[in-house]
Amino acid sequence: MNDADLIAWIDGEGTPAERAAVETALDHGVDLRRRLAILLRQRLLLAEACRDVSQRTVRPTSSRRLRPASMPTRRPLPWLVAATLLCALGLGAVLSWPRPAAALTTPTPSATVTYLHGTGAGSVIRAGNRRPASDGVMLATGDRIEITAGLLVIAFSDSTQVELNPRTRITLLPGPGQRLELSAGSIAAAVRPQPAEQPFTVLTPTAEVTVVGTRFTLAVDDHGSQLAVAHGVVRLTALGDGRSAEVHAGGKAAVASDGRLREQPALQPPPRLATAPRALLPAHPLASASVATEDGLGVVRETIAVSGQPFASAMRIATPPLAMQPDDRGEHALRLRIATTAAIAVGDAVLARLWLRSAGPGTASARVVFEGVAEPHRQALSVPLTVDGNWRRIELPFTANAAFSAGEAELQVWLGQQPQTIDVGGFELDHHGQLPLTALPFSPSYAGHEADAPWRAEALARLERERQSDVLVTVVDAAGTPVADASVQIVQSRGPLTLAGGIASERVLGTSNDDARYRAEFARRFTMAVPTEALKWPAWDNDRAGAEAVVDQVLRSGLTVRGHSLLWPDRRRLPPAVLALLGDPPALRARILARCSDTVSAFAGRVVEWDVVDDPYSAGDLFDAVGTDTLTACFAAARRADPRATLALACFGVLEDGGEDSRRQAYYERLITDLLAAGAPLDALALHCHQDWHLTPPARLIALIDRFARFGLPIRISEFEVDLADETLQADYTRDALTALASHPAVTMITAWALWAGDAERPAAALLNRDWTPRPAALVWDELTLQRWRTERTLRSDAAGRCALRAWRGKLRVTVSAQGSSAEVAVELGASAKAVVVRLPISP
Amino acid sequence: MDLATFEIRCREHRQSVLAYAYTCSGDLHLADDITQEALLIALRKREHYFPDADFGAWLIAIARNVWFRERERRQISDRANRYLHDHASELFEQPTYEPIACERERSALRSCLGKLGEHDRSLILAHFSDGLKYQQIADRLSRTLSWVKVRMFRLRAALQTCVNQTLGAP
Repeated sequence: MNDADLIAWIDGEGTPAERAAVETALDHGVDLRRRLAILLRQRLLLAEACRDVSQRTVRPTSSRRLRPASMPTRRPLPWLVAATLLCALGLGAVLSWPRPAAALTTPTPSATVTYLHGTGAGSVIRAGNRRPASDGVMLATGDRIEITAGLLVIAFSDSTQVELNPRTRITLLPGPGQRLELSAGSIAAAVRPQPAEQPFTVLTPTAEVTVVGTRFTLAVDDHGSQLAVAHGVVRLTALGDGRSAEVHAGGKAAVASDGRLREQPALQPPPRLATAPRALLPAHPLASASVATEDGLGVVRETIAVSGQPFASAMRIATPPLAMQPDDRGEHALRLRIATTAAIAVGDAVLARLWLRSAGPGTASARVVFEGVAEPHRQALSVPLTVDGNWRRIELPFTANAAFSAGEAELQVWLGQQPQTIDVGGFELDHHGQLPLTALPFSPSYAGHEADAPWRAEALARLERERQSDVLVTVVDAAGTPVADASVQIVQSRGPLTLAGGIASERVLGTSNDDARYRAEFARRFTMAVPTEALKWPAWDNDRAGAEAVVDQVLRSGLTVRGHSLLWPDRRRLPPAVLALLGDPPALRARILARCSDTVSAFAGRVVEWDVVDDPYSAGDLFDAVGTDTLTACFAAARRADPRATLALACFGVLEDGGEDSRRQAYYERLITDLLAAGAPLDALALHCHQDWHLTPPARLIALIDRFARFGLPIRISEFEVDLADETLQADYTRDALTALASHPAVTMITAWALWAGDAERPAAALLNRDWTPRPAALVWDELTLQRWRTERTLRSDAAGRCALRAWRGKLRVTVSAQGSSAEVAVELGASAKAVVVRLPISP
Repeated sequence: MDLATFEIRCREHRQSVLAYAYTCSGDLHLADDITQEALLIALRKREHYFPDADFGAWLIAIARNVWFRERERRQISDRANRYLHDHASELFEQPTYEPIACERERSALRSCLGKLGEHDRSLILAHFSDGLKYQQIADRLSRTLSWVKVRMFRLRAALQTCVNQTLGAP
């Protein structure tokens, strides 16, 4: 018998044999019985403390849901009409909540499906009736939502999301478009591009904010209304004096309590740093650092001397094997934590610097995080890293998305990924005040940018070797006699790669001049369209006719359609009716499989390829509920529904984050292996490629493609975009990334995700400006895909009637003319050389 | 025993009775009801109490009868096993907890609960607030039963260490 057995016995647990062993020990041990008496009383106190905690606070976020479906409703805390500070980008995680109570009334729902996600405590008031604001509640025009604690998100059917912070009061107003009234507190909104005649509007007591498509934060307090724009453009109108201002990304504006416009927005980036940055960490950060596992077990750590670096000492930390039993997402089981020593405000630009290296065999993995100490542990920075045995300087810029006093936030390094030994040192955390990140003394860059980088010559050589083949054209007359000096024109009609583009429903079906221009620019560059939202589950459930119309219109324009996606198991992306089934795994599984078979059936013959599952890494408790074999069943269901469609697994995070998220890469390797072993009809892999300041070096892109190409499946680069304000760097990286990706023979498709700034979720990533002028990255894209990777040549046949060339693989149109006659043939050029004989209808 | 003294003795032993009732029922609200009922019965029957007898054991005996009756009436299962019932007097008549000391320890516990990692706190609350058994917790977390058992023990030990530090106790 051990102590854990005794605790389990007290809790009423244990096998009969274990209980008997405990009781035998108790019979023979007076001291043990005394200890038992104490433990029984402590157990009561713990139960009482847990009751107090449950009644006072919101249950913390957990990707693994513990609580059963039916739970008593919490009493909402009294809310205070007070301002909260602005929150920045990102949306709160969605948590489990009890199934919503039956609706008090049955109002007419808003035209767009709108519902709540989150763990917040609060109320929904409708027609004077109050009910808990719980996860999955469907909202209607006229509803007032009051949040007292935690985080809640209003999700609209077009994927616009509005995050409500504690002590916020908001009302859904009638249209046109989505209209909200913010009477207290603050929100952070990520707004999908809206039709010009139906903008997204937020009213406050003193201001009106009109949004066309952007990310912004808006707060109301006794001093008025404050707006900060992260992406896009927002129009702010002061209700007092009627003045308006357009606030661009990086700008702010405010309306005073008297309704007068208080500040002009910053339309130009502010001047670069004029004052020195403020340190946010103690003078000796490592001396103040705590290193601990979540279960309180000791960690082997030592201070080591460092030479040849701009810091003299570092900490060596050995992650103990098996101590934390980490799951796939247990990186935080071991953390190094350094608390801040100064305050930070929302919108402050911060630059974190540290040095890392692996001190053991092979590489080491870490994640650098900046987050609040108290719940909800709001994170402003979370970056995965993989380091080798050389000291590597890490620079991480970020914008504070919450205000913290000294000591309320921490710079953390998560080290629980695997048993490893890692050295960390040289910590700096500098606060640069209210500046855009572009003003920081930091420039994104990537290894391999230089013109003579070794990867470049190798990639170009492989591009030619793997994407071109020899063609020999022989021109003959009607009798078969060679025709000399014939004109032989070879034009590419389909290139070596499928080039696809993401497209929104509004652009497909819209009738505005911009919509028509969009379709023209799209058709010029891409042969395949990927509807970005129309075929996803929530949109499909809401508007099947709309989805059908999008697909049919794309087909009528001569493009093919790739389906995206059947199942994106992130809780924020699932219909509320599906989330409600989490407590009923068999019903949930049946629903998921029905979704796969019904949707693929509906589009059989029209949609040629599907992302069956997108980003399963984000699934969390969804797969806990239904089992990962459900993924195999999804593929099988899709195959039965349309045997001709290509079925793909979409993976986010493999090529992103500098290519350094080793845990996610390992997860997908295991998943693909398991799916293939289980016989899932998996035809292709789709790797996302959303690049931002943490650029993945081209050589690393190639290495990662190599790693996943070993499965023998064609690889699609499914969502390629480069989100950088520096357009020169954006263009350089676009060129290098496309070259690297296209050079790998396993890559068969590249999908551009952001064509136009007026439409893109991340406008800085778009190829075309809002006024349709091309950015340098667009010129790069066009040069490579429309010129350099295309064959267009005119040759003359020799005395033997032949001409030879090396052409890009794909489909070629060969047009031969001589003596007033011409003939044309289509040629499919693959890996093997091609000999083509063109017969001209001329007499010998 | 005069009424005032009797009430004082009841107050001193209330926590012990409550601990027994909670051990039997696993439900704090029900344990409260049982405790109140037991103390009321004791008050009504105080003439039957012999001054030389163990007061705590006497209260526990009353509480046990109240529990058995409630268990029968509500058709609910007994969380306490036979051993606990047979030794209840010995286990629950120990030196009493003063209300102030209890509240200090509860307050320290609440603070220490807040210091747990969110997953560990969820695990504790799942068992104590939501009434989940170890196997149910293991199923939901996709862990083994033995993992939950070890984890529960480690967390309780960590919490007690934290409480002792908070209260300045050894």
